[in-house]
Amino acid sequence: MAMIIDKETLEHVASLARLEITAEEEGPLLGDLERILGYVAQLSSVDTSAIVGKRPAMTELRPDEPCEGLTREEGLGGAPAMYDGFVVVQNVMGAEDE
Amino acid sequence: MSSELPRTLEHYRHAVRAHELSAEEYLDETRQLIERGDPQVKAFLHLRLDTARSDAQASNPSSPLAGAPIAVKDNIMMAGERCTCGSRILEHYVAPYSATAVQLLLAAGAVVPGKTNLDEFAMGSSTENSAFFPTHNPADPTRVPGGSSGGSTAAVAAGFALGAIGSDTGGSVRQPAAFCGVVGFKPTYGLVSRYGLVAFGSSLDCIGPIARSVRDAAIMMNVMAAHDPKDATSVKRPHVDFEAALQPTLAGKRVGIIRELQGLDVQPEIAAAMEMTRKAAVKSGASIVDVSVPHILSALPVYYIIAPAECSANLGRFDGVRYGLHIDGRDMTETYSRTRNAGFGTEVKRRILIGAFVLSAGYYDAYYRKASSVRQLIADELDAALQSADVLLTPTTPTTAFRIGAVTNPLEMYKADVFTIPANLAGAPAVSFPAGKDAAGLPIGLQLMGPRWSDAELLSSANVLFTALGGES
Repeated sequence: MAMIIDKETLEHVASLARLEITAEEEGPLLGDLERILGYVAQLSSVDTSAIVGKRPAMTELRPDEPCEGLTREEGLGGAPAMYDGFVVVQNVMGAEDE
Repeated sequence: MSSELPRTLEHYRHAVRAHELSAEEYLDETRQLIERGDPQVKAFLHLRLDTARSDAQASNPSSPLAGAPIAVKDNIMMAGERCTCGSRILEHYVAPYSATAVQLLLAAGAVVPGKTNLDEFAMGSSTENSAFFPTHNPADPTRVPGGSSGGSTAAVAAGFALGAIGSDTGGSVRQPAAFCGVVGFKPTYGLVSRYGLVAFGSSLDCIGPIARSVRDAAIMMNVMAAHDPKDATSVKRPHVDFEAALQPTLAGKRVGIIRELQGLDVQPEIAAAMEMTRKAAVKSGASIVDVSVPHILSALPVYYIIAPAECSANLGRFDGVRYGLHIDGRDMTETYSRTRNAGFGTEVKRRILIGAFVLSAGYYDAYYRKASSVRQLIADELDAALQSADVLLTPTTPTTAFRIGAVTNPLEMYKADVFTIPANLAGAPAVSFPAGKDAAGLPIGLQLMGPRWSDAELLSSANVLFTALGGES
């Protein structure tokens, strides 16, 4: 039977999800994912022709009114690195040139 | 628990109001039970008993919860307390604000003895996926308490709290309630605010009460059910008094038995409990009706597409920049992946990968879109079944609590949720209540499911069956 997920697809999906898969994790993960995806693939035999096109009701949104909330310090207090009230990140431009 | 101490929130409240007991005396007794019992049960990730005692001392005896200890699952925020979600990635994270449900409980006079253990980010059915330690079932410490709210249900079962709150995405309040012999209620989606609950599957997640009796769950719902402008999915509804709505009989009620679930492999004692409860329902004035939900067995595969898809999006926020763990890489991308790889456990990674797969180009239609359509189909079929029945009776779980370490195949673990998932897919309320024990003395739980917004009527029906089977009214 054709595999649903192979090594390359797993690596592609892992990069989309920003997860590194170690060499030891790869084999067991491939097996688990293949079994789980194989199991859920049974839905392809369910006739949903009467459903397709139906859209869920939109969430009712309240007016956007300013109110008391978290202070900047409280809101950002969980960040691993802060500078002058800002969250610190690495250089996001030109990562290739060392 | 010593015999003169109240077993339920209702009796506790009565004793406190009659000045037979004070909140701090009760908390001192609770503290002793925790200190004696929790090293074995391991229900709590963090305790705050000194603060809880001062809160109990300051509590108002005539407030709705009168200083009663209520435990909080550690994926629900409480200002100033850690909120780890059972994950390394949030091991040192401190909540900057309290969830609306927690605020409401505190305002009603509850005190919080501690934050309870869970499967990492609420993904699991045994609490073995906690990054810190597994919780043990108070009925038999060699067995799991169920999950993912296993810490909360174990705490209530062991007498460490009079009630608790958990989150239920696919059965995470009801399944561990069944395994631990307590009541667990998943309200209609939109009835209890999810503000301050760390998101897992946003279209499925609900906060619900865990209690020693159905009446206690109703008392907690009176406090927690409220419209919240901070949760866009919270719905404005007329006020309901859940406790006052409890009726003494099932007169005129139709209890539906779902035909398509009859062939499922269920532990014989659980099948016997179903039979006994069916008879109790008839004796209480109900009629039994056979109903059909043709695609109900597709609920499990639907869930294991929708929930991972939503989880992979929700957990994208844990990037090593805004919260929690940070592991340096050469560039941003490597920092993200190193942090996430070190911070997430195996089950969380598995679900993120499944989610990213079913949402990715080329697979989206076949998996995610298809699952969304089948979800709608099942919800429509449940609506139709609930036209000919007022409530649907099922087991909560196919088996009683299994041994710690006994289920290692993730797909086998997922199957523990077969009866609980349909209510999440449909946004419908469902409650698990204790219905006897199996031959090994392990608790059995049965589930009642009802139409959306029938929460008060559903709890009333569950209360009749629960008390008919020997539970405290």
